[in-house]
Amino acid sequence: MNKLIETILANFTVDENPVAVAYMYYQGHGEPYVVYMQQDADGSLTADDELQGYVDYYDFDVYAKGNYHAIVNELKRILQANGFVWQPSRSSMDMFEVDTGYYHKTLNFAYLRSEDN
Amino acid sequence: MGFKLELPTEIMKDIESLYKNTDDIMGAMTRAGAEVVQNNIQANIPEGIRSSKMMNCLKVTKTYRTPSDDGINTKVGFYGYFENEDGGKTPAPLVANVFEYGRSTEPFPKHPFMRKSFKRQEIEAAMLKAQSEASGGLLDE
Repeated sequence: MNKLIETILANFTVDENPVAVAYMYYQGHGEPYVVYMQQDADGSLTADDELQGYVDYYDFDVYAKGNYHAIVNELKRILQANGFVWQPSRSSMDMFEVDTGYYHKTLNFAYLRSEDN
Repeated sequence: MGFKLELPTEIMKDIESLYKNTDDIMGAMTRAGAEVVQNNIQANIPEGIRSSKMMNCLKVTKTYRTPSDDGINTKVGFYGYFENEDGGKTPAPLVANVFEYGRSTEPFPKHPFMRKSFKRQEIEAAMLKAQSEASGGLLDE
């Protein structure tokens, strides 16, 4: 799954500005950046007492010190174009860290999977 | 020719009983759902919170009616202030929010536990069970 996300978001740019993407924790410097991680998983289809399909829920945390709405919109567009489904009720409100000056928003997406993929 | 149909008295009484007890039935259902979420939160909560006074802030509210939408509600969540070991006070929802969504800085690794505690199937099952109990089985399929 991480490989799929890394492929989709390779060279992720917004308004011609590169946006770094990292799994779990961003160790680089500079902003803006996006951190992603699996947030939850839930069974979606069972047959003959065996799991046939499940849903992976992934968080994508956008961190920026300026206007981050263009990044949010582009992230939604590119992920939805690749089969992810945005989950508004699992996404966060707009957040701001007073001590670091970072704006922060968590976007949550669902991805339907089976044991085969 | 005419046709006259009379509802049996028992059915009339059942309908009257449901009408009178609708609020209680709905209240029992929302409370049962909230208690499922509360139990899930307690199971999923990060150890850093479990061993702190934050647990005193995890509450299920009383069941209440909202006049704006005529809804019957029971809420579960963190309420009040969390007091740390030094006596400093921070709003409990803010502390829970930091664990749920994380921060840019390292001392606060993200540990989502609230959202994964809302399992629709579990909540619906508990609400239907409460509905059956509170209605005396009158609403069972």
